[in-house]
Amino acid sequence: MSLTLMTVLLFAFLLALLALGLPLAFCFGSVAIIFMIWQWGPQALFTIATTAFGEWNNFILIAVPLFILMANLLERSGVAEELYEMMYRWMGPLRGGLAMGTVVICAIFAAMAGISAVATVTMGLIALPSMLKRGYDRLIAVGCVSAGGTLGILIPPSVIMILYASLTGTSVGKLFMGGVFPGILVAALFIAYIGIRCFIQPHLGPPVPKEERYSRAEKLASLKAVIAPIILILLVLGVIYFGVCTPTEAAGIGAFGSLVVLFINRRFTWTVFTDSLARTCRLSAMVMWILLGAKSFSHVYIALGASEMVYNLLTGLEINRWFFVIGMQLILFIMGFFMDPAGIIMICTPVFVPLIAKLGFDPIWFGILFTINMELGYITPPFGFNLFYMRALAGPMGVSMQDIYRSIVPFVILEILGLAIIMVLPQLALWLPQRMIGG
Amino acid sequence: MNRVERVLSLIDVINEQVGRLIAYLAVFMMFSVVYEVIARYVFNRPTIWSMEINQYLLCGYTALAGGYALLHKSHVNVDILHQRFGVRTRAFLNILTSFFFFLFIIVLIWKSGAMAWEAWEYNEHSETLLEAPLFPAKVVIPLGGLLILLQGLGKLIRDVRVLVTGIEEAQSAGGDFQRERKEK
Repeated sequence: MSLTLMTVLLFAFLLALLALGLPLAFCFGSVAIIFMIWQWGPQALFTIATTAFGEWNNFILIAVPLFILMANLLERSGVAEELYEMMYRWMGPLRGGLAMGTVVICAIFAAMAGISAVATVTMGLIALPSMLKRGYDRLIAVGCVSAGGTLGILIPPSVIMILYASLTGTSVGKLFMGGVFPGILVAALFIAYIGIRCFIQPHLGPPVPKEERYSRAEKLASLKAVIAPIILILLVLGVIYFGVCTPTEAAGIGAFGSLVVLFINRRFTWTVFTDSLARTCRLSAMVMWILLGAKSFSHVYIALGASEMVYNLLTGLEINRWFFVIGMQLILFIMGFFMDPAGIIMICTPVFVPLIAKLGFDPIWFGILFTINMELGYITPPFGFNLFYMRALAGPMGVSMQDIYRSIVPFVILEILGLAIIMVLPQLALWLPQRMIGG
Repeated sequence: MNRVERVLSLIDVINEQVGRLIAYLAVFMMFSVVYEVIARYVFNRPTIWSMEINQYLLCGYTALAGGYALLHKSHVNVDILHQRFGVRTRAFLNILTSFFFFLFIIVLIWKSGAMAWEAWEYNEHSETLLEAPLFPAKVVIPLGGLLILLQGLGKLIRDVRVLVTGIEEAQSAGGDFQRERKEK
């Protein structure tokens, strides 16, 4: 049987199983096993065991449960409430100020948490009802929370980036630093959009009435809310940037710091703690099991020679190399409608990144583009995590699913614009990683 | 409760307890990593054990929590087609695809079991300063495989029941998302 047909079969089989609703980890794993037996006989199956041992003992991946724990602890730490209170006092008087401030808080949270759920859930619980009460337009209020939440994976730390790094052999630290300016850029685009729209159409985000505004002293007092986040961000990202610690160690420090914040804010209870641990365990296990399946799958893909064939086939087309980059982004964007970002990264990196490297592009830069695209995956229906959260959180406040879908449209466009800017100006992503001392 | 019901809840209890217990490993990982950094910079004496032990712990953490994650429906899938079908069709598809789940898990148990056995037989140690015995780090993989296999069997029995009766259990219909909705 020809290699081309074989490769097509490999992916067709995988997609068929995925479509039938079998969890990703088992789809990848079983397809890998079937092709191993078929091509090399049962003795090849030992790869499954060595892959499990190799991946699950991977030094870099210790950061995954630690960053997830950090995020889960922060979610209950009260930091979000304090930040919102501060932002309310300072930005409430501006047109659209609460929505812009929500994006700022999402960005701050993104710099502390490696997953997008934390900012989305906390802001959905705190900022959303507050904005709706103040007469903000539903679409702006819902949109800024679900879109702002996605910054969690682009602004470091980021679990998605750790996965990308472990699959491609790039440096976690460099990827993290690469996400800083693109993250700020995307956040700035969101803020500018909200600001301009609410300036032109004030009814979309009415300012807080004069008699309910706060005095300067009250404003200054609220600033203490940023102390804990700033320390945590400096600790986690600072130690990575200056090469003092590995990302794994930074993750441990961050989780520990969050626990301390929990104590300082008097939010620590045994239930909160064990609940965070349990959720961390389930989410990490899910990620690590997919990784086992996906690694086994990519071993088969490479051993078959499919990786090389695809490369030769595509470069044989003799078209501009940018065509590939844009084509890949398009594929990622479409996959984002149907799949979980962790799954997309597992399927696509083994196929895309070797090609990208051979075409002379920087894998770090491509990783940033990849991550921005995965942000889109969180907010594009029908399978977008943040939309699920919004349905759960905003639904009871009388926001329909249609409103939620409509609310993300401008933000999707802005995010694509951000993607295009990073594509044209790679230095935005690469400047900081080139300067960092560690990594 | 009939006998089937008892077996099902026993499986759930086992994985729930193992998961809750295993979850605490993250606390050890956190403290030992912080200790390592302090030992290196404050006492100028980096440990030789911290990262290596944590690597083995990560392996146990992941392997043994597989069944716990399955119990809570935390293993993500693509449910775009899935959610459109009726209860019975969905159960039927789950039964059909469970073949692939069992194939994967049984191969994993079989091969990683052989790998762990080898580590035991030859008394394998790591090639680091620590020279840690590798058997414990390897044996957790087949053990975790058994736990997830057990949970998968429980799920299969439930799916068969749904297929026959057409009634979906209330308590089994809560993944991580749905639960969060209820909480809030």
